[in-house]
Amino acid sequence: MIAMFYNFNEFSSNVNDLSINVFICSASFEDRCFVIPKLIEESDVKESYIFFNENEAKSICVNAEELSNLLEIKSNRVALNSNDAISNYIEIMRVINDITHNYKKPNILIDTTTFTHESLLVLIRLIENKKQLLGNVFLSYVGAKEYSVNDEKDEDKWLSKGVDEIRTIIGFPGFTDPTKKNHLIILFGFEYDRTLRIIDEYEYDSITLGFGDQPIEDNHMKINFERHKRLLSRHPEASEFKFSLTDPSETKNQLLEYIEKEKLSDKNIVIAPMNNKISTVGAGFAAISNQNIQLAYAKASLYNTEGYSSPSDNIYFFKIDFE
Amino acid sequence: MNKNPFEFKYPDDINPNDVIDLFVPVFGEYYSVPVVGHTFINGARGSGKSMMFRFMKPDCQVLVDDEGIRLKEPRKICDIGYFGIYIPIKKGHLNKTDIKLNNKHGEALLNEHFMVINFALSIFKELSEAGFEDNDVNRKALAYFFNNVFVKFLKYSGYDESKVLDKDNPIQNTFENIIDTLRSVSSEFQHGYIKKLIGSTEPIPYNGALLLYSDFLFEILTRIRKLPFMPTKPIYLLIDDADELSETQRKILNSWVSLRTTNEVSLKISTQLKYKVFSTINGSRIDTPHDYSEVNVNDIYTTKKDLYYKRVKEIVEKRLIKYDYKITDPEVFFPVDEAQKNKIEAIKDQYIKEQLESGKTEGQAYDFAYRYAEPDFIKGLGGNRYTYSYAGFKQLVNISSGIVREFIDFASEMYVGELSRTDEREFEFISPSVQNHEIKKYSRKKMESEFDKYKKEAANKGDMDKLRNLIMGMGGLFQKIIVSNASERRVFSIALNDEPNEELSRIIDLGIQHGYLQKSMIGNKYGTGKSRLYILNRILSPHFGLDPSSFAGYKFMDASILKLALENPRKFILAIIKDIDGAIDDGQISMFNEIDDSHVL
Repeated sequence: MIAMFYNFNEFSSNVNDLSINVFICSASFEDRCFVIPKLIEESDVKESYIFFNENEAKSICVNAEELSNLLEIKSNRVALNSNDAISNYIEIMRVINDITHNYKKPNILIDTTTFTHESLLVLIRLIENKKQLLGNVFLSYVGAKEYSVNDEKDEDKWLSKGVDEIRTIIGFPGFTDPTKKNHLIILFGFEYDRTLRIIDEYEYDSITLGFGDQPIEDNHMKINFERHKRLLSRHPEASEFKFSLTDPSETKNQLLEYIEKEKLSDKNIVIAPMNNKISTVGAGFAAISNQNIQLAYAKASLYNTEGYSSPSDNIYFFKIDFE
Repeated sequence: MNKNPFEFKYPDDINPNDVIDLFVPVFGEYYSVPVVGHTFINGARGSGKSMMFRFMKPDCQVLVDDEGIRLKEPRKICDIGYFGIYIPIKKGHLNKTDIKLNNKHGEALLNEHFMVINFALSIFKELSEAGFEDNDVNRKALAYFFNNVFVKFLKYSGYDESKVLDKDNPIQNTFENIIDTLRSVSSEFQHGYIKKLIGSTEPIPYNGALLLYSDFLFEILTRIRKLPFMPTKPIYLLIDDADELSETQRKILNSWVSLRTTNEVSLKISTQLKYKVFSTINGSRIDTPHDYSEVNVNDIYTTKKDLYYKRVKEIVEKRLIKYDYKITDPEVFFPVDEAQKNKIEAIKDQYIKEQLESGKTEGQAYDFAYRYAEPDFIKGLGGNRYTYSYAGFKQLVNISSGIVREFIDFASEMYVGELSRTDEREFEFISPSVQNHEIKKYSRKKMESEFDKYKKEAANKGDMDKLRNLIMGMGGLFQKIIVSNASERRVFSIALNDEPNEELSRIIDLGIQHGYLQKSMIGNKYGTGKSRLYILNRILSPHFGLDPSSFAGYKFMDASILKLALENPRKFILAIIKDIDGAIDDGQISMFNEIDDSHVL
């Protein structure tokens, strides 16, 4: 995977040279969902697909419509339901089948920024599945300048609350053997309570808490570090490991090397990606490469829809290098 | 330095000797668990289900007799009363979302196949670790089992195993061969089928082996029972955390329960109260007592107070013995505040004397003293009510409100507190001041930081605010009653004259869900039926300055009055206390606005 790092102007001029046929994104309650669509307005993208969770906050549906108007190209809104993993999978697969049916070896740009971790991973898995029929596939990600923007104190900052359900992600069932020990790897972000809940629910024999090697924005560093420390004091038995938040290939390799080095292949391995979408994609490719790995998703009960994040000026851009 | 006797460990990590030392046999209450028959064991996390299963495994059962009493010498495995095989259902093992991608074509059969492979793997792993003697007879019998039974039933299920084992093959190696074969079956299914479901627009036909319960697993288990190293008694499959199965898989398990196989194989199924499916895969229902018996662990402890006290006492005693404490009597390890006790005793003596002098019988005099001495002592503390001490084992058991892990949890914090008080030196008991300080801190945490955590997680914050108001209203009212002149002052529950409306029901349910309230039924005031009773969790008694020892007192009211508390706890309290003799509104609800956080131990 080739990683690039752009500001807005650089991104716009570069994306025009890539002959993108299809653009895929997800509407959200966050303003971050508009950044990339606004920058590709002028490009010659032929068609776009806008996913949105119609069962969640109203603002998601409103923003999906706004995105549809913004992208003057032929745009298709695709309704998902965050409570129904199977019907989401069917919808995402339908979109991929439409694209491969309508275009010959299409070049695709996926803006990963505001997908749910689960939908993004299912999309990546299906894209990988159909790679023979696809041209170049690019991923973009807009970082957050700040999270939980309405809360001033670091300790009050939150992204989501509660966990409705923890489920395996379609396409990443892993290989499980009850005669083996169980190991849980968490790619930890901000969400302390949600992470504790996952650890409690799994009751696995051993855990690794992964922490971002360097945050995507400097001002995330202090909060991350404090929550990281709190988590370790609550689970002193956990092993630690560092992963990249800026390059999915690196995250993937770090995960696979860690599993190899710690001899975790003799265990049932579950990875719960809970940090940014870049590291989530990295976890997805690690689990595609080592199909014994299972990926898990903890569906939140409530999101901080009023002030989840504010967009940063940086865009991460990648070309998927299918193996 | 003393070790913490209340440290938490997963039952799986405890060695069999320690299990026997620590486990309190509970089969007197849960009599259906160790006897033949299918049983569902339901209970919240922390209620001791996994520990019960740990005790039922053969490595523990060889150390005790059929009554659970430790033997001087371990008995042989073939002499134990049943053969318990532990099958934990781990999250993500069986309930994989991918398997639901095939929801039309043979969904039930494929799920059953997947369950049977997993169960069989767990079963043979447990058997391989049971420590059977590797002698000539056992080797031959197990090799024969592999070559002529296991392989045959695999073949009937559509899987060809060509391996043939030598009749003198060591038993460990034979078990490994069985496990390897089952792993191959599992791999064929997981890698060769489940993973192919992704990305396919058409249903994927499955042409592999189908290992089903009746045709494979049950047949295999009945043959295993007859092996020379096995007891002639039934096999119990100890299926832990069955809530982790998908709905289809629960129905499949229920179908197994509906089979009358109990004399050979009984299913002991634990759930964390989220199982909720009691139909079989064919749509018929399973019922108790017809198909299975049921044990609700929490119900037994909350309704039988004396039994609960006895259980906690035994559990604590066993831990203190195990950790070599000089004092092993929980009553002495958690002593009461003597000065306070003496003052209350003096009031009791005075009341008995006065009552007898006024012509009451001895029984009446004692009853009066028991009923009023403690509340009157609290009342006499006046503005210093927060100095009331909650120390003493009995008091702490009452405060733990029927949940053993709650007691162990705060006892562990008391251990840490005592260690700090003694500058990490050896100590023999937990001083009353530490008990009192820690239990008040624990109670406050329940009402403050833990409540805030639940609120943060809640989808509807307004409801959590209403719940906090309700709890403050109830606790505040009970506190006003305890220092009033009411005839029953130790009130801990509210009984409703009529049905609560939708909103009040919803908030009460939220309180029950988060453990702040418990529900029950009592006879109504008119003797014409039952009324709903809502009991405040006694863990909150230090927070509100209440006496946790009474289980009897309750206050009747209309639901519309209780509903006032949802919006305004003070208004609710005022509405009730105007009719209570001697009840005063002092504008105070919890004890903690008066307590200095820097309280010195």
